Order: sequence, then structure tokens, then C-alpha cells
Amino acid sequence: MKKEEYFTSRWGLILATLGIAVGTGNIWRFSRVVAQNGGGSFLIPWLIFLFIWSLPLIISEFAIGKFTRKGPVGAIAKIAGKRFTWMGAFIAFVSTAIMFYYSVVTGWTLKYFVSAVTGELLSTSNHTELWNSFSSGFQPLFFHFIAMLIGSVVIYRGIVKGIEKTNKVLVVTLISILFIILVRAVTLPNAIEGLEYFFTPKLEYILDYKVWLNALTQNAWDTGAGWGLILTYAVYMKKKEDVPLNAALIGFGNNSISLIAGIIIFSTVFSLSSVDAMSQISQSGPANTGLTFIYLPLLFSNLSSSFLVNTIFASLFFLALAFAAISSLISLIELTTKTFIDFGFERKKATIVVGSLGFIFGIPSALNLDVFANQDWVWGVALILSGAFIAFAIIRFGVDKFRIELVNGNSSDIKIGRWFNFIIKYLIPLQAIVLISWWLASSISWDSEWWNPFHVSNAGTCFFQWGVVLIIFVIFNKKIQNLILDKK
Amino acid sequence: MNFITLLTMILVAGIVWGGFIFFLSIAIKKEKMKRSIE
Repeated sequence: MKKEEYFTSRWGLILATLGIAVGTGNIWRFSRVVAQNGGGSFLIPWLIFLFIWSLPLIISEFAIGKFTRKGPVGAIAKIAGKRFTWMGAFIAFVSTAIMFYYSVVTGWTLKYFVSAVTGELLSTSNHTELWNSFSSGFQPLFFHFIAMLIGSVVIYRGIVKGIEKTNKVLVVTLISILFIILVRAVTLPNAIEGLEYFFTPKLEYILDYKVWLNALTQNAWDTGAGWGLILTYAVYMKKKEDVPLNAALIGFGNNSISLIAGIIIFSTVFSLSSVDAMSQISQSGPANTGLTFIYLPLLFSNLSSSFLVNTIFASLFFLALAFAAISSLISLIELTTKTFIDFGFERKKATIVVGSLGFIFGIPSALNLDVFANQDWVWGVALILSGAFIAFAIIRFGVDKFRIELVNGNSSDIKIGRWFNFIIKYLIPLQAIVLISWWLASSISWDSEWWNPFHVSNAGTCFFQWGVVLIIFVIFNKKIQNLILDKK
Repeated sequence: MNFITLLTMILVAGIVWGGFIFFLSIAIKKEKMKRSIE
């Protein structure tokens, strides 16, 4: 029998897991959402939800993965009971569906990095046209292929030679680049205005429930908590490895990088923008790409009078973005690969299957931005359901037993108190219900045919796609559990 | 920069970055201890 692979050290595990959490959401989504929700006013609820959504779920995922040594399907079956295997299958499916289109996003970042390095990006005068001509052609398909290829090669090489080694390079380089750009950004003239907006709380925004719901959404989407990804990496942590301290490092580390990215974007935009900076940061643009792919390249052109200096900073920015995207894509591919391994596949065979499926099912999103936006909407909201399923599994297992035996085991460096029980039992389910209801109800206000399953982003398309997947998994629950639990 | 902005900056950045540095220092200490035992 093949020897199990484990992360060689705590630092290898932390860097790999930080690679999951730090993605494009920290860099482009965070800044846009902060701008749309009153700057500093947003940061307060965003910080609170780190403690009552992200951290408890990251702790839970680490503990479940380490204890069960299975991907989400087998893990949930083991924690919640065989009857609920379909919940684990749903968690795994949601992250797999995200992998299909996230590879396309990774491809965009690769394309823009290449564009920046070759000078094409800063030579153009019309960035909207550049984006439109790129996104409407076949280039996204080519870069989607490259992204899936890179991710699959890493997973093919295994845990230590692939995931650990690659993330050590990607995450360390990403953080170093962000620090270099940070220094340049805060020393730009008028950068202080951006910082003032970024950190000034306004009472009317703090009292607005929508700001709180957006802050919770940002935490749910950008920390990777509740996706099943951290659970999958935790399968490969050594038995003597701690859970709570590593989880705290991931939660705080992820939000630290979001703050750095926010400072960079706000300082740069307020300093270099010749028009209304706020409207530029908060504009969504096609598939929410406006700020990153249209407006920021324009700002990089005005960074200094030297084309070379501007090109270097634009290249560094898009390289950091590409590294953030690749490190997250790797974890998405690993989750699906691990699920195939649990079904009895050998890693190398599983990687080839997952890589091929990832490329094929990502084609519609690569070629059509409406399909992309639809998938982003449907499975993005479903992630909140995934988080709720993880909390449900722990409640079934026994929250206090889970905390004492799985979280605060002999190997834990710090102990987690009873507050964890309250959050998992009451706050996570409550937050999930409120958030899903709010998003679906909001979609009624922006789409009069909210029930139509063939519209891009409404309640109908969510109910339809979730419904199909859930019905299939519930019907085949027994078959899935037999396939997973019979395998060693 | 007014007082409220400065206070928010110190609080938010202090908790997030301070929290990260705090837990990182515990992790470094624990790893050193484990290595010295081994």
C-alpha cells in the first residue's frame, strides 16, 4: 500500500492553506466592496464576522480533515452520519463547480500579466476596448487551458513536491510583491486621501444592515472558510500538528493581506485618479472586472513619467494577482482530486480526469461572460450553504465533544473555549439563513422574473441548479456512501 | 487625518495585523520548543 503523504512542517501547511484563503477576492473584490459600503464603516463588521463566521469554520475544517482523513464527502459522512453523505457531496460539488470558472479567472490574470510584461497593457489608450476584445474572443479559452494545466501539474506531483513546494514560492513571492507595491502606493502624492476614506467610519453606513450583510458575505467568500478546501489540506497534516493556532494564523493572515491590498488600491486610486475616485473603485464593470482589468491598468500608465517603471509595477501587480489565483485554483483542483482518490482512484489518474473535466466544463464560462456570471452567482451563494452543512455536521457529532476531542486534542498549542459551541450551534446557522434569504430576496428586486431559471443571477436559477444537484445526491446517497466508506 | 479615522486605523490594523503577529510569535515559540525536545 502506498505511504500517506503529509506536509513536512507547520510552515509548509500554513503557507499552503494561506494559498487557499488568499485569492483574487482579497485583492479586487475586497476593495470594491469596501468602496461600495462606506469605506471604514465596512471594516468594523468585516472584523466582527472574522470572529463569528470565518475563524470557527476554519477551526472546524482543520479538525474535521485531520480527524477523518477524507475529502468533504467521506468527512461529512463520518462526522454527521452516513445518512448525510449527500451534504458532503454537495460541498464537494460546489467547490468543483467554482473550480470550472475560477480557472477562467486565473487565465485572465495570466493574460494581463503577459500583457503587462510585453508592454501591450500600458501602450493601449483604451483599456475597455482591450478587455472587450480579449474577453469576447478565444484567448480566454487558451489561458483557461494554461491555468488548468499549471494547477493539474502541481496536484499531479503530490502534496510535498507539488502543493507544499509550489505554495511556498507563490505565497512568499505574493506577500513580498504586495509589500513592494504597498511602499510605492502609500508614498504617492495624495495617498493619504485614500487612506482617510479607507479608515473613516460613517455612522449612517454602520447602521445600515446591508453593510453588515456585505461584510459577512466578504468573510464567507474570501477566507475560504466553509468551502471544504481547508478540510482537504488538513487531511495531510501530521497527527501531532495543532488545530486552533494554525486556524488563527490563516484567518488573521488572510485578513491582513486583504488590508494591505485595500491600502494599495485606495492609495493608488485616490492619488492618480483624474476623475471621481470613488465611482471608479466601486464600479463593477463586466463580471465585476471593471476595477482590476480596466481602471487599474489606466492608473499604472500614470504612475510615473517612465514607461519602464510603470511597466514594472503593473507587471508586479498582475503577477501577484496571478499567484493569488493559482494558489487558490490548486486547492480547488485538489479538493476534487481527493474526492476521486476517496472513490478509489490513484492520485495521478484522478488528476488527469479532474484536469480534463475542469478544462471541458470551464469552456462555457471562458467563452461567455453571462455563463461565467451565472456560475459565479449560483455557486458563490451556495458556499454559504456549504458552511451551514459543516456546522450541521458538527452539531450532529456533538459540538462540545467535537471541541474537546477534535479541536483541543493533545497536540493543540492553544485551547478553544465554550464560545465555539455557541457560535457553531446558533450563530453560523443563523448567519447562513439570513445571508441566503437576503441574497435571494435581493435578486427579486433586480429581476422581475426572479423565478426564471434561465436568467443570469436570480433566485430561480439558484433553486433550479441547487435543486438538481441536491436531488441527485439525496437519491444516490447510499451509493455514494458505499463508494466512499468501503475504500481504505 | 481626524481622531476617529486614526482610532479606526489603529484598532482595525492593530487587531488584524497584531493578531497575526501575536499568533505567529506563539507558533514560532512552540516550534522552537518542539525542536529543542526532539
